[in-house]
Amino acid sequence: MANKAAQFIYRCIVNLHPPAFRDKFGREMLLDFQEGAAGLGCTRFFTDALISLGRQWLHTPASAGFEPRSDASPLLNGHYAMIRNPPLTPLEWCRGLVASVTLLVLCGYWLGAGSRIPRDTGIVYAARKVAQAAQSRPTASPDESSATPATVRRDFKQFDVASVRESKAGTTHVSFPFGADDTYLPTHGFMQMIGLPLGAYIQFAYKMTPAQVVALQSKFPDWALSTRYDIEARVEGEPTKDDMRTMLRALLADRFKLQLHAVTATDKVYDLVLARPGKTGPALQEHPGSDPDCKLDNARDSAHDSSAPCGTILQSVSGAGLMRMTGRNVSITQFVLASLTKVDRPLRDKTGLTGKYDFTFDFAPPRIGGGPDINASEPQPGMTFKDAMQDRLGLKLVPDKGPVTTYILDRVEKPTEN
Amino acid sequence: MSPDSADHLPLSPATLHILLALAAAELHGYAIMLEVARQSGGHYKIGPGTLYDALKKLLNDGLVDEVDAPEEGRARRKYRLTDLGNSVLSAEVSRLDGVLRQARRALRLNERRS
Repeated sequence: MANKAAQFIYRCIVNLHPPAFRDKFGREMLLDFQEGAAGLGCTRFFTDALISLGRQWLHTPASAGFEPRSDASPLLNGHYAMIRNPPLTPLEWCRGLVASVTLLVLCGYWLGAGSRIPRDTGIVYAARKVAQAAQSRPTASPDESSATPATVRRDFKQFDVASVRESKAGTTHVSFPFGADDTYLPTHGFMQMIGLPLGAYIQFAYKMTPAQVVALQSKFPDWALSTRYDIEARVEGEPTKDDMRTMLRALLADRFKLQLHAVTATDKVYDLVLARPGKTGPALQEHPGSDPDCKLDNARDSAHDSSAPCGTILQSVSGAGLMRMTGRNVSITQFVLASLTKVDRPLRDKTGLTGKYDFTFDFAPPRIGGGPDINASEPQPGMTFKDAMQDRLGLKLVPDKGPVTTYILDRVEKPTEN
Repeated sequence: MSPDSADHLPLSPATLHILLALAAAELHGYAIMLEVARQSGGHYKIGPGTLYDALKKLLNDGLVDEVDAPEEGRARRKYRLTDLGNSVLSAEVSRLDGVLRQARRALRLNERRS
């Protein structure tokens, strides 16, 4: 929830919009601000609203200024001076003065804050931040869940404040990429996860594979399977994704009394190997070592339809109902992490590939209720993930046996009230 | 492509993403913002000002309409895609498909030359 001062400023900016726009969308903008400002930061909303303010007045027909005010929205009714033939009343002069001073204060804040104001306005691109975050951190293997950056920083153990509630939203929302890989959007210490089941929180917190969380969920009580939760939490500072995992583990232990322990035994795994020794597939290209920031390969990326920020893997929907996985300047370890949700066993990297790679390939989405697509036997549009990986990347999965970690549920309780 | 649909092309990135978001479900403004971010893998986010400016134009053009007009303090105002909006979205996707094909061809030729 945005604080009252920020809400007041945002309300002022909304009130300055043309009456037709304000009456139609002002209430929605305020509600959006209340819901989203905590996650994305007030500055972006202010910037967006100021751009909108200029745009709406520029695009407002001159006649609109002479239209009678609408009384449909008492929330936002008449808080600015309008251009019209009769002279302005003293009250309207005062309102205009307040509006002008507010704008001046905002401009001063803008100039004073300087580097804290995002350069993107109106339409905000977060890709740069994702890329920077990914580039600034070392590549983690599946077992390096507690990797720490080289710089000295705060040790994040638990959130400063946290709220756990049963979800009434009916929708799902996460404030940063929730996958097992290191793709992350820094949120200034804010975590907002809406409408997720307990298993999803545990999977993220413990960096579990889908198979591990499915095995764990088989021991869940009924309420843990049927109930979805909203978790909102904040900590001062800028924690990494692994810090978020650490703090979420502490929160789950505190509110859900969650206790787990890991057992390692020999079981079925897949080894990821090169289909043809010494050769990768046509869609798996080594990233030029001279271009660590991906500045020189924009043309090639266009040819590959790549939109993944440098150093990350992006999964999206391509044409014809297929899924697309795109990686740019990523290690095979990152690819293994991103692929864990596509296979039904743990994956081990046995390719021997140590460099950074670019790739893009399409594959058929997993069938609803059909489990991992790797075992799909019915005809589907496009190749399965396994087949596409072998055909396009030259990587194949070889069944094997190896050490597999399974999590055992010791204790879980319904969360305590906040 | 119908003449009506062609009149609206090409779509701006924000408009395209909003129509794509509404193609799946009736959504209120904040849900559209989240859906746009989700569809783009977090790469592309729009703020309320951009969103409602685009929605205003889409409502005026009949590409989108409101599901209901809530009373003050009640549920959020939801939006949905109209038949015209659906056909404009299809036409835009076809147009972009053609652009991509041309772009790939041009880049391949360029690589061969160099």
